[in-house]
Amino acid sequence: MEKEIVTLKEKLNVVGKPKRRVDAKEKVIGKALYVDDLRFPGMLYGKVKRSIYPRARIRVIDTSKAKALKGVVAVLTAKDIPGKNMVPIIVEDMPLLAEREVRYIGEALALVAASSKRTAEEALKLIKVDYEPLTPVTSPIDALKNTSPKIYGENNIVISYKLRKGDVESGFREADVIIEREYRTGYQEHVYLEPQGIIAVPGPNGSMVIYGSLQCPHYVQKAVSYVTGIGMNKVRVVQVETGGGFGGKEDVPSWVAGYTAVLAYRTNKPVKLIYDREEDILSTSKRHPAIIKYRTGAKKTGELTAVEVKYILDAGAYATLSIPVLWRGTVHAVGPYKCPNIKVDSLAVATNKVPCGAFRGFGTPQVIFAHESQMDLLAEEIGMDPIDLRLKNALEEGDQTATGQVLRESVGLKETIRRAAELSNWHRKRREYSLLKGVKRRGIGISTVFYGVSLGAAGKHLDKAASLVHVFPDGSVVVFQSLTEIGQGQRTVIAQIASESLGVKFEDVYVQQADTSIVPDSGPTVASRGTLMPGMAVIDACKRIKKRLAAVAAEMLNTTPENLVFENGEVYNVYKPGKGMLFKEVVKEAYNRRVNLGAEGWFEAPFTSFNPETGQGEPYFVYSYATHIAEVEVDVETGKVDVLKVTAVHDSGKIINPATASGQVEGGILQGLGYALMEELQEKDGYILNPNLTDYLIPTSMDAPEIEVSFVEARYSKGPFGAKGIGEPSIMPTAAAILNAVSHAIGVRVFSLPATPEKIYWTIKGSGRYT
Amino acid sequence: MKLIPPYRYLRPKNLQEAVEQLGRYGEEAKILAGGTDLIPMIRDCLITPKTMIDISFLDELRYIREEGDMIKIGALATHSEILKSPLINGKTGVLAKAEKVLGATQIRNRGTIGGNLCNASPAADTAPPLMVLNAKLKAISVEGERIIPIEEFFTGPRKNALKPNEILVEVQVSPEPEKSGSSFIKLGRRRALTLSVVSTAALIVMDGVKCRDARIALGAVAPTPVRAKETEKLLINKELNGEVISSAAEKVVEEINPITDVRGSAEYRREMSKVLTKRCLLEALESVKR
Amino acid sequence: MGEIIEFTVNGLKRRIEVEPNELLINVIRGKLGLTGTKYGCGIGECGSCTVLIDGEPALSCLTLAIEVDGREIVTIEGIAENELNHIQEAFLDQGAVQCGFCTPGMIIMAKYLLNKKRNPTEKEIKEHIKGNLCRCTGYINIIKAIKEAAEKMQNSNVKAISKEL
Repeated sequence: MEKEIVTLKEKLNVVGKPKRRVDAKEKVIGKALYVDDLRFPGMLYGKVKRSIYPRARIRVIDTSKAKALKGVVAVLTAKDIPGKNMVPIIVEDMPLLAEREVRYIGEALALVAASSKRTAEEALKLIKVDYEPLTPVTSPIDALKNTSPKIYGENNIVISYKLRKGDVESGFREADVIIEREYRTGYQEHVYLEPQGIIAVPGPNGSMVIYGSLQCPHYVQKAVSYVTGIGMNKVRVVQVETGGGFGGKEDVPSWVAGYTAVLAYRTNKPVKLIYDREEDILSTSKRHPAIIKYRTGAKKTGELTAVEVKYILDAGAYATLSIPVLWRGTVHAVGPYKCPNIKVDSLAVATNKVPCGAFRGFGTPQVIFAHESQMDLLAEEIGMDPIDLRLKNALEEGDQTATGQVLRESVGLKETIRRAAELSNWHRKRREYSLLKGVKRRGIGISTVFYGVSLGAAGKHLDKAASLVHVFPDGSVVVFQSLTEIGQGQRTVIAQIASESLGVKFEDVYVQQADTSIVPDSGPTVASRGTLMPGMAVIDACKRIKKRLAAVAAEMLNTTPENLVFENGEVYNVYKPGKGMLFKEVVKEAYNRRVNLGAEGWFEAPFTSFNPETGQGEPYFVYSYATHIAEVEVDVETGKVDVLKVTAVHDSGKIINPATASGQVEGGILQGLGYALMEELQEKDGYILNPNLTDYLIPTSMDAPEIEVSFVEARYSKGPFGAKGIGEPSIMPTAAAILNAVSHAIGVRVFSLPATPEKIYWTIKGSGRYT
Repeated sequence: MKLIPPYRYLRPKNLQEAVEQLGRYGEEAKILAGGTDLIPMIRDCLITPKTMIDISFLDELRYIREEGDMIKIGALATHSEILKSPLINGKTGVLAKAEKVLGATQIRNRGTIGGNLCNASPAADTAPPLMVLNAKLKAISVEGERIIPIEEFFTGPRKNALKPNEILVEVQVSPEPEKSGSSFIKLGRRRALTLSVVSTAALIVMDGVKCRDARIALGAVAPTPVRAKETEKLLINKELNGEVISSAAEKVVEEINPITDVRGSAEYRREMSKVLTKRCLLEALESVKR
Repeated sequence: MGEIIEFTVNGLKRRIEVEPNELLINVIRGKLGLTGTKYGCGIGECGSCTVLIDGEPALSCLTLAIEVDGREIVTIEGIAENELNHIQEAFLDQGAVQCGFCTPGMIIMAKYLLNKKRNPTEKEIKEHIKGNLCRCTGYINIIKAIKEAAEKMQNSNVKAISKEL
């Protein structure tokens, strides 16, 4: 076994290569089928009636006129739900359909199924809801006041965490410098290009098949079973081509599928429900707005002595994923730095607004903006280069994180900082840009992060993955696994891992899309776990098959199994290269001997722990690291920022596919740029003012800067070929790096996101520097 | 996706027929040209016309030509056609400059100049340049034809001076004079495809070092696009330099009346009006052909 | 209520009945079953629904079906018949596809650009696709792919010409 691993490491044929994506051809010819592209005989169209008040009692929902409309097949309210009126996320607090009270604008009240989209739309208008409006609570600060109406539990707090290490007061006493600031960040909307959509198809024996645009098929399976009362064994969820997720299709499809399944159950017809863009922006989860109070103490020489953080998230009306989002944010609140004394208190607070949930980064971009601004303020205060300050405090192998976890392996952080500095010409530009005068000023800024891969201690019961691999008589291979391709290249990477593990040609491996009826529950496609977790499960299955094949091949080649090399569709004796056989010849012989060439693979995440009293423990089994350096030009008369270049260096362990990995980083950077500068969902009294792509702006091609990506591959011994995770670290450092660059350019700092031209303009104006 | 409510659809064969149809249905009818503004509004039920008169097939309204000392642009000329026109680029550069930053190719291919004006958005990109070109708009109805100076055309947000039975058929502009320079600047919240926070057009005519005529117009800073005539007065007959222009540009805030909306605050718009006016005038001065 | 319109879609003559308030995107996707054209926003802000009308890119979500009477439409399904064309190959080569939802619109835009301009600069490419939003790739590889396609097309033109000589 030892020898085999060494051989693989030395001679990787498929892993580490920029293989073409397995799903791209269908997409470039327009044949890839997304949920709205599917039709079933007799299919009805679903629509959702939504609340127009942020908080109101429901007196009556009158559906009689809607029901009477020709073409309407069903109009359903809470009482028509066959199973539980509850969407199972983490805690059970959110009804599928509001019954007595609505808690945010866009909350679902009633469902319609009709023979055409137009009839369904007409029917919605005929549903009359009699509301008794109540005073809404729309800011988390208000919600925490004693006088606030209680809209969630006893105190409007959805969840809180604490993290305690050392003694922060003595840490601040030891400090030569203390920086204390407050930061605010706004909503970020996913704007996956494909809006939410599900088709539910009732089948024989009371079964139901769900086709959908989704990240987490097993979540959807559970939710559909809950609301319909159908046993999970009769609910099959098939993920179809999905037009982007970014966290936005983690929990939301559970209720989109809930609506659709209830309609399909009651009508006994296939039902399609596709969201409008406005409906999607109004009613689906987003990145949480946050308030972060941050206090950092350090020696004149730069060593951190104490960090104290208060982190408040605006959760919206229901808990959904606020519980793990806040947990991750808490664990990452200090950043990738050594610090002996730490106190973090975090809260997610309920408001009468759309529930916030998962968005790439999952509670970290907010605190990263704070800790990376703090690091730059500290560097300035003690007269140190921001790179040097970070290198001084950056975690290395053997160091302890904020939770007291000793990092034993795969810590490429410092190399990401050094390489990013070198590739970006940091020192020269930092100096030269500081000297610029005039209307257009330039700046360069850095941000560095760590990211706990996979679900960690808070989600450990979900953190496993399964696979099923079959080798067919022609030597071709099919892989079933249950994490989803949502654009990131997951199926391609899994195909590479399977191909390398079995020693077959990449082209001979086919990876199926996720289907809950085939593969055991493998947890969600989130937390940058789509390579590591199923990758290990696929390797496990491949090893079992290979062992069986090796026994056959050894006889055929007159050697012992441990001398065999499986490579590129051939099998040969390591001592007699060039005299082997084709993989498919071995397979053929194995079939003749009735050898089972199908195998199930399984992987359980390595150990994690977390003490709820102190926050200490090993919350994640391994971390990815990243450093971004951004260069900007600021027009100081208008506040407009042009991002010129972003240099991104990532340690995500072994990179399985450099092309798809770079693609992740580039896309993450542009989302981070949007978060930093332009993406602003404006809300007043619970009303979203710009629920459309005219006024919620995401970056266009014209906004894309030059991007240079580089990988530090600090391998992780328990990951597939040494891989960790890349999806989320791609976006995490960008906004903070851009804001630090803006601050370098203009000499003053913006303390809230997004830093729109107007905000930057007033910051400059307020500073009195440019009068 | 949201669907469009039903309406009576009419496709006139020629302008005459269109005028008659509009005369018949008046208030309840809407003219469909490129549809880039109209269709989203109908889809969102912001307007619910009972009758739609589709003039998009009337090629007689799709032209850009010079007649005497006038450049005449048919109401159905698309933004792409205007942008490509050598006549527009050569003689009314300020309009070409605005067309260049208006939307993306797909929108420019469908959207028409007539539609952009009739929609009467305070932020309409073509309005400030046409205002500094002193454009005249020709409207036709069953009662005859009428010329409306562009300054009188916009009457409020999304409101124009056309009577219910009138169709806008032509935009007439004089070429930019000799020894003149012009510019258009748009400030948005990203680098492309964004509605203006503020837009400014300027045209100056020089006589040696002296300014013989100056015209300034702004968008998105008042209920309608506006001319800044008091500011213009501070430039006319002056020797133009950076200082004169900067101090004149300060005046522009007295001529605008911006609001706060999702795109920016009134205060920011005031500040940016000054900055953009200054920059626009400087660019215009720079571009004067000497 | 409906009216009969005649138009060409991907080279085939079609004669269908449409309602005057029916959008082109719904006719293409629904009545013609050409689902490669995507609905992303419905108000002309994302470019996912781009098709060619008489050779010019237009948004099928802002176009009434009735308005294309007598015109010629090309959708993503009409870009290449059996084999992939240079643009599609380049999109695969350069990793310009992730979730794929913006891809049809991007490819339509690329085809139009390369039809009228053989060797566009990076700036021209960026300018040209600014009406097509992509949330996955950061546009970097899409721009590279269009450049590569332009080069390939030039090379194959050169080859074709030298063969003739």
